[in-house]
Amino acid sequence: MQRPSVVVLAWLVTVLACAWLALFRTSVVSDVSQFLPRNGAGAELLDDFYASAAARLILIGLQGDTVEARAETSRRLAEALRLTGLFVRVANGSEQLGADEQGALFTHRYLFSSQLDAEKFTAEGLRTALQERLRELQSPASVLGKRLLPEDPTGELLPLLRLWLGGYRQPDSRLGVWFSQKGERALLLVETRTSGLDPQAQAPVVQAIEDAFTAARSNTAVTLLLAGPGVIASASEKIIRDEATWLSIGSSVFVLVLLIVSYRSPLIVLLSLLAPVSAVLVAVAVVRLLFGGIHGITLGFGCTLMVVAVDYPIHLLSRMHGGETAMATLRRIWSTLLLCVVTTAIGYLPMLSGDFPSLTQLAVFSISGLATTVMFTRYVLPQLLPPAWHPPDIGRAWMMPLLRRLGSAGRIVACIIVLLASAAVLTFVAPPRWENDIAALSSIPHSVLAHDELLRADLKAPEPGQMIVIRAPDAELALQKSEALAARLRALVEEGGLSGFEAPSFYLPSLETQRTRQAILPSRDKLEAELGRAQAGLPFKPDLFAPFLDAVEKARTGPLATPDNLAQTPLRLRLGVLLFPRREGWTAIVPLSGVADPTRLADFAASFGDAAIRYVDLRAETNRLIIEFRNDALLKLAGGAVLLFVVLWAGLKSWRRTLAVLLPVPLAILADLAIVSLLGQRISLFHLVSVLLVIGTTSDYSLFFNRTDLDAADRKRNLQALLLCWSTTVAGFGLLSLSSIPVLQAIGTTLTAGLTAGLLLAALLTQPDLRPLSVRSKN
Amino acid sequence: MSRLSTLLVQIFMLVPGAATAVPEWGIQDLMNQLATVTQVEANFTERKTLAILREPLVSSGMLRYRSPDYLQKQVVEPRPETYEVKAGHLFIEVPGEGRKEINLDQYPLLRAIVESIRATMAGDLNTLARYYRIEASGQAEGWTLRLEPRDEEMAHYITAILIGGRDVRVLAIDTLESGGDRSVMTITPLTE
Repeated sequence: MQRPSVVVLAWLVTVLACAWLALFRTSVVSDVSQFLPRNGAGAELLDDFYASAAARLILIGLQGDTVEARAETSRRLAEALRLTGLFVRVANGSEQLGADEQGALFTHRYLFSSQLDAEKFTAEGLRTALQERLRELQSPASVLGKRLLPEDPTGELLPLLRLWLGGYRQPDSRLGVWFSQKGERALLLVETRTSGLDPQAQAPVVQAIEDAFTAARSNTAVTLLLAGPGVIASASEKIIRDEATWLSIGSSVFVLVLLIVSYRSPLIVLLSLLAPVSAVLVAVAVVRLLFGGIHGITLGFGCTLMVVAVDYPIHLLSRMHGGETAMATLRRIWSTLLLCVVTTAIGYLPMLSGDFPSLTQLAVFSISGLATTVMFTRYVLPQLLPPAWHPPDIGRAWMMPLLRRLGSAGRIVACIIVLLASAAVLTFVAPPRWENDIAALSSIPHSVLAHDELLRADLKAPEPGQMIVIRAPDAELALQKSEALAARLRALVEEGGLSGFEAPSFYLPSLETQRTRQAILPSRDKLEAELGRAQAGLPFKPDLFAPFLDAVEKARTGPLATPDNLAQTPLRLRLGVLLFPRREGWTAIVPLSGVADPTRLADFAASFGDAAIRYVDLRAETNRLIIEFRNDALLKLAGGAVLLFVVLWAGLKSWRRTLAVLLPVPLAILADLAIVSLLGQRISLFHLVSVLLVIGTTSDYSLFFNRTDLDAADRKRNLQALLLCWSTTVAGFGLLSLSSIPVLQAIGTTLTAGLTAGLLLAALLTQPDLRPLSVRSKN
Repeated sequence: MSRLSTLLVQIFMLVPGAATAVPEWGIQDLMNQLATVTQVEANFTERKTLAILREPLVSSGMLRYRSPDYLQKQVVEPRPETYEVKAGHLFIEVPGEGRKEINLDQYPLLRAIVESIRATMAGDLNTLARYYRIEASGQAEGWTLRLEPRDEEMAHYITAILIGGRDVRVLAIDTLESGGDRSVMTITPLTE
């Protein structure tokens, strides 16, 4: 006997220390980008995307009530949001550039104007412009436009305003604000200051929008619709948290009821629950120590998987009988239990070395949780059990005969039936489809995604993640490349390769281009002479255009506009999303919309022969990474299978038994895939991760069914133990399969189907031959 | 019989006579009457007196209106162009330069200017009153509406628009700008 106090005390101290570390010293990372693969070029492209404006857009739709109520709510909401200071931009179609923004544009109008040429400043060109202005004076709108005429007779400001205000595609307008095409939704577009992929930063922003909306709608029946990466991030986190909370409460109750029914002792139930609890605490602490924090998805997923941790105390508790001490029972099953742990841990190995940081975390989490629960079962639990306790016999009379029948059924036939049925389903009825879409990974509820699609179409907002990225050592080079690119992209738009694009050089021309424009501008004397000739016979007052002469002279000899001096004006915000400094050099983003054929765009970008100009199809890119990861994981899984075989053979010391124990595993996976495909689910990474658990747990079942040293009573207890293991797990995960969240649904279905198949197959295929020797020898 | 018929004639003659005798003409009457007009075609001459020009800018052409929301101003002299308002959209056509479309919803000030004419001609008092404080003076044979912008931003540009007319005919639109500029449009209907 060991001294209980020392071991139990050590365990208690460890768990408390881990609890302190886990609860008070661990930050939960929720940034989605941390979850994605981070190898090579992919990671760089993702960084570009997360830094871009597309990731910071929030799309707002207002529906219900009357058109007037929606328009009015939109106006009030926009006003309130502008006052919060949380946004770079709040647009609903009613906004105008502020006086200082207009002023900054007006100052730079000659250097920014894309319509500048030498022709414009000859007597001829000026006369054409003045006649155009006269025509405008004749129009009903002249009252609004004539104030700037003395300073801007060539009309440079208006096109600039149009460009800066509208971007390149505007939604429809009703009652002065943006509306969807049919008018059923008023639309707003806001750009947050914080990254859209950090739910923790986004949550208060989303809350602020909701609060402002509640005030803005006042007593109308207008309702709010939100979308965009930030909303998706924070909504999916919130929905997952809420739903996961309810599901875990529900499954905990199920597990609790099963344990109470099986053990009929509050103390024993409590002791068996200590295993998963300490497993989670230690696992969080280990991940914290190794990674400096834990990803939200790892935490949620890991805690869910830890339901399985209760299996190990069950393996001990259900096999105890009054005739021996807990330690004696433990010694009896220890070799099998150890093999169980090792085989389950091998199942997690493929995740450990992947490029998905959170899956690596998850593997560490699971393996350390597993180790904890086994240590707990081995060293702590036996010492806490009341002496001579044993579980009540709750078996039913039909169970053992059934098990015997299963065990002596035609194994080869059963194998072939399962194999053929699954293969037939997977080949003819429901071929498995891989889920390569990143959206399925980010655990977004379907409804949130649907809103996103709807509002994005309404607002004609660019699809996030379709862009050309330019990298350059300085802003000037980035802008020059942007100009060269834009010229050729225009041609591609005309050919129908895409529907539109935006470029930083639209807003801020390169210094080179600005110098070219300066060279076009005539000297003051020359301009005055030309203007004098142009004015002949026109009714303008003679010295009306002195401010124009001054402005041109100032532009001709004055400083050029750079990102730095624009930084002093509000224009910086608009430009900053398309052109920004990075750790090394500058990045320019050219967002694309309506890309017809991605390969054509890729060829187009490649045709520049410049490694610094790259087409990014973010979705395709991340999906490619996922496929790569999956192929890699499958390869490692194959390696794991070999390792599994070696370990089992070393443990069981029999080829026959090793094969018998292993056989249910691939069959269970096959049956599992067939069921999941039949249910219409696409196979995602989360299905694969769940399959790893199916491998580990099915081999546990097999190992215990396969024990040869059991008498009839042991066999009965063994069956009860395995049934309890299986039913607690299925209770835990069965509920998840009802979840609306793709990730939870994937985990739930895969584990419920896989483990049920696993248990049946293990009972069918791995029980030692129970017939008396005399019968066997006849065959 | 003849006395009866004489009496009937007298009664029918007297009824309108009795009505004109009560001088209760008001803006609602004017609007109701204007609302009965389905179509107008007229010549116009517009004379703009602007601080930036040495001499007034004079233009002339045709105005066309169809109840309730079609309005066309076709400038013939000196620089031909056509403005057309159809269902809340403004179309501008300059010969040789094609046609531009502007959604008036996006330009509230422009819309207010357009409504000063359209809503008046359509007898649409509600719309007119949404954009302007209205003051009516005169009587059916010679009336003037003084429209002062309600919107502060618009008041920044325009002090008042004076619309003058006789019976159901709009004859003059006089726009007084805040900077002292002024535009006077004289309208001569071609048909009743």
